[in-house]
Amino acid sequence: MKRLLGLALGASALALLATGGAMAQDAKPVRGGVLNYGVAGGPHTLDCHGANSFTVLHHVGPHYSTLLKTDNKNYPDIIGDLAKSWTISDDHLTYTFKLHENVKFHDGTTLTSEDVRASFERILNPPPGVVSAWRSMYGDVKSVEAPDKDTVVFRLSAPNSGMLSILGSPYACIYSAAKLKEDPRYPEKTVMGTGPFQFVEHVSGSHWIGKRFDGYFRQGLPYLDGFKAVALSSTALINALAGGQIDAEFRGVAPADRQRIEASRGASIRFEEAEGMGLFMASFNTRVKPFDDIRVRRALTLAVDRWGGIQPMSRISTLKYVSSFQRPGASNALPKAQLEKLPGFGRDIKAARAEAKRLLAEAGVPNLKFTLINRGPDMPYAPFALYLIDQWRQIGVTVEQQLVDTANWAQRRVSGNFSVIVDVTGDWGEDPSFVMARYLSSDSSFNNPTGFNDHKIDEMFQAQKLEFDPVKRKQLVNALETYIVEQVFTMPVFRTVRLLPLATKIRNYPVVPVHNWLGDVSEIWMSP
Amino acid sequence: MNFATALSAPPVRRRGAWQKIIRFAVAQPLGAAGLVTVLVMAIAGALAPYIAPYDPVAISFGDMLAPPSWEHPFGTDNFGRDILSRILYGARTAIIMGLVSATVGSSLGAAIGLASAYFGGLIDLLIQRVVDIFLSLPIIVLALVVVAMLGRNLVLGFDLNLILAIAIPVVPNVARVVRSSALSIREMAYVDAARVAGYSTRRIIFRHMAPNLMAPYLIMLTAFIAQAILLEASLSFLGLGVTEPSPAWGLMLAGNAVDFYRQAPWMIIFPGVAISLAVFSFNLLGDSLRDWLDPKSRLR
Amino acid sequence: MLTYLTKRVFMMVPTLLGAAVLIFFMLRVVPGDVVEVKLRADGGSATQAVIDAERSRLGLDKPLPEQFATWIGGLARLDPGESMWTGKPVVEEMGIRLPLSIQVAVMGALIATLFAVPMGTLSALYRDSPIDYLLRVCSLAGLAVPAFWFGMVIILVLLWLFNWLPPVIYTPFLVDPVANLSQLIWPALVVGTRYAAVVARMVRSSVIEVMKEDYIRTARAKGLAEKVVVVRHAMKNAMLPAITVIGLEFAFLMGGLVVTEQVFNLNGIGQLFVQAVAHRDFILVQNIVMFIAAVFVVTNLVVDLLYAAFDPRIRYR
Repeated sequence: MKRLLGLALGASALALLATGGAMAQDAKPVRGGVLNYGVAGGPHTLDCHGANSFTVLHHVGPHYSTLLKTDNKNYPDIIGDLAKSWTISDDHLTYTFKLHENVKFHDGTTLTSEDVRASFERILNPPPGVVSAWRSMYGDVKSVEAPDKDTVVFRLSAPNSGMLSILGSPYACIYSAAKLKEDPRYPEKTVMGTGPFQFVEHVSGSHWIGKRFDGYFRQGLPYLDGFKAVALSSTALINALAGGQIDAEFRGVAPADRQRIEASRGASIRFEEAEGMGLFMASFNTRVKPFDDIRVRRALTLAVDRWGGIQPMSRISTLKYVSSFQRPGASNALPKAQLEKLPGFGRDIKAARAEAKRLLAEAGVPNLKFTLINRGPDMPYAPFALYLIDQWRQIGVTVEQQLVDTANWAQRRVSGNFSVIVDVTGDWGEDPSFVMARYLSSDSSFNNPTGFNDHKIDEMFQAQKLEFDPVKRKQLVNALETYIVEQVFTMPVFRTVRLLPLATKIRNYPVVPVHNWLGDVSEIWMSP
Repeated sequence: MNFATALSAPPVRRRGAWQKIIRFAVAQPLGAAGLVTVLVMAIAGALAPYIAPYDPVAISFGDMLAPPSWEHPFGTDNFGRDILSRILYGARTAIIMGLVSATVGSSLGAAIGLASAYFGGLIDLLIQRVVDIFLSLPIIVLALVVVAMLGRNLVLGFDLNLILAIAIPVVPNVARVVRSSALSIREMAYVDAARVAGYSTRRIIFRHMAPNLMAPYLIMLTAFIAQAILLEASLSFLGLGVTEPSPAWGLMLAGNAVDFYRQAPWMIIFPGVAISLAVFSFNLLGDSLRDWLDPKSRLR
Repeated sequence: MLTYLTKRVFMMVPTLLGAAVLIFFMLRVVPGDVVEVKLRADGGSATQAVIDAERSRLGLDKPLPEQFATWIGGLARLDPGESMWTGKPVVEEMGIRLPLSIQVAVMGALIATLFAVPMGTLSALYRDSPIDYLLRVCSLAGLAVPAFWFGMVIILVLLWLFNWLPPVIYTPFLVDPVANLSQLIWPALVVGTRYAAVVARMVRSSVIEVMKEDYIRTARAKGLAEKVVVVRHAMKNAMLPAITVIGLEFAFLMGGLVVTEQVFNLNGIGQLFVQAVAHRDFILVQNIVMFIAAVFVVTNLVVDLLYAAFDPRIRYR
């Protein structure tokens, strides 16, 4: 009898444990709550098409839908947002999308394919006065058509293996065609889309409020009642997180900030991280002596001890990874063994520095002196430059830092008014077809400040763009990356970490490397 | 400041400089304290390369955020740099920049004010208009824009353009004050006497008017040195003044120094105290000088 | 009196015009361009064509005198133009932020006056006593402590000891006085400390001057109690220079807010100015500077008029 009781007790205990465990894992989303988060800057425009900064999307993003989006639960896969399904022709020149039905705009009108077509038309052929900041990314798109109210067709002039990613850009917000016809610039002044949240209020320099859109086409979403985004300077952001006035920040904070916030907030906040998209490099002006000499450039990259420096750097700044142009965890990244063979990425710093000194002597500039243009006063530019200067000192190179503000830095970079300049990327996605487009020859790239022209790079880039087999494409991307690193017209050094502070009550927010876009806010919920 | 009274005395006779200083120290103990502090800072700054225990820009990742100890009396910062050494070199930057900007600005301002007062008429009117225009712009606004305009121009480790940016707001202030005192002296009997006696304009200005302006000029100078030090610290804090890796007190408080306030409060305390002490001492000195040089108070 | 007033008002115009010219041309020398910062500084794939088109739309490719004329012409019609950074009207961008800055300035002035007048008077009356020395050292300390450090220390102490931070969003006083004051009392304290130091010193020296006057000796000789002498006769006359300093310093305050607003992250005119310079938003910077210059010039005028109104000696100059 006792045995039976014991067995029953054990069984029920087990059952309880099992269900209890299951409950903890599949906690049901709760409707309600307002998400308070900080943004390190106010939006300079309300028009996604004309923006290139997270400061805009972190405010405006929740109000709009895009045709395709990144599936943050399975990063970096692309899934449909407004698109229900799609087919790609065998020659990769025609992309046909079927849209969801019953998608409503915040003003009550129903979305049709004409809205999607008009929005992309605006990006491809902006009317006068409209800024289309991403136009060149869609270079291979020839035209957009809307044959019926649920179908959109993209015709390409050339195949592009990254086209789905490109069409999934978070900056390609879908606007109302009717309103665009009245005023093509309406998105700069009015926020009206098909996203999960409706616009309520924006006080310039202060805050931005959105509330749930009850007519959102995904049933039951969003869970949150609304959100409030507060524009704060970086220091104030950390103070506000520490003081409990905001519950999250979606670009990322530094490890030192983390300690400060944890000390004040304890268990009410957690930190999640992912590899970031901020790659810090030094770019050389190859039009200027002696940086036109590849030996000098090689020497300068060999001198920097990346593996030895990343530990202390990660303690005092957001720089956490040794990285080349592809993020270490990316599907097209160079395998570590191959990376370590590249100049500057080797493990034997002594040998590398000896080689560097030899190269400098051979090139005739053993006691090289130059000025490094750095951008300030934001982090982590300061520690990055200090580290580089310290490393270059070890091979007898004397570097003076000239710190200029962002506007000055941007101008000098573009006008070539520098010898060596601290450079950075902050891509919104991973596909090599736009990430690597930066490094094309100066006369064809939109953003290569070095003046370096090598058509081999352009050809290799084209090759990977036309390759649709993932394994073969990876080999081509690796070869391209290896070649660029070896040419050293720009030298990648460290990559940031995306360290996000999230109040423990915030649930269902997968942290991915990309920070420009908030992610799918409709699926976030807060435990009471 | 009551310049008219200070200047009503005839040209000053030369006296032993040391005697004057000692008499000043006895009459104005606070001022003496200020003078001593200023001198200590200046000497510490001048001798910084010899007395600083470490290289102020040497990064030492093994020693980050160390609390004050025998090895590092003021602790280290987030790059492992010794804070005491940075404060010492910072004294150099602060005092030299403060002194040079204030002197350049005051001299230029005094020259303009004197010229304006002496020549009068249309020249005076024109100069006054320009001075008014510059005076209507707040100091930090003017300095900020000048810094953005000129960029950086380092000579011997000091940013000439920053010195200019800090000096420029000083000029109109000094010009305005010097002009009004010069105007009152112009009416004084001994200037008329000199003119009647046939002395040249130059001689009248330099031998008769200028010496009587020395006292108020000196007082203003100390005030402006203090202001210049403060302005340089504020600009460096905003990221627009002295830049890394040069040590400067304002710079030590800029950027993300604040983030370490719990782990390393010494990073924030020492530079702030240094700035306050420097400005305080110069102001104290200036105040005491003024009290000492005011004849009315001497008569009491 | 009327002629004096008209003369002064007339003189304001060339001064302000001169300030406009000065700031306009100074800014145009600054390297950097608002469109580059907007579209290329943080990545993005804007082509040169896009950048040129936008520059053209903002009028940045027109000759400088033409740009100046457009701006000044607009100002004359009370239309300062649109921010180059956000495209919103300058009036709107500044209008949102002015109440906050003005409130901090006024609160600072109140704190200053409240503390400085008694401090300065006491200091003067007990001249060269330990009280005088103490108060003088306090004022000098108030002048010497850098505003940004003081503010920083306040915030860090609040966080460390109380785990509390002032509200980050501005609520107008009439909407929620508690939230409003708990945010703005701290910057007002920082700004007021320096202000108080300046005013206290002025009050001290002006009371000292007045106490030396003959009519004070007469009042004492008449046998009046010291308290009556001080309050009835001395203070009235000593206040005039003090009021002028309070007024002048207020004008200087507006410029000093730049640093304080940075430290406390206040959405005020000072922070707008710093951001606008960083963005090379010429139109916004020009207008903010003109506004501050106008406040300064008008305040000077008002102070001078007050002086002339109360001091007959000046009126008949």
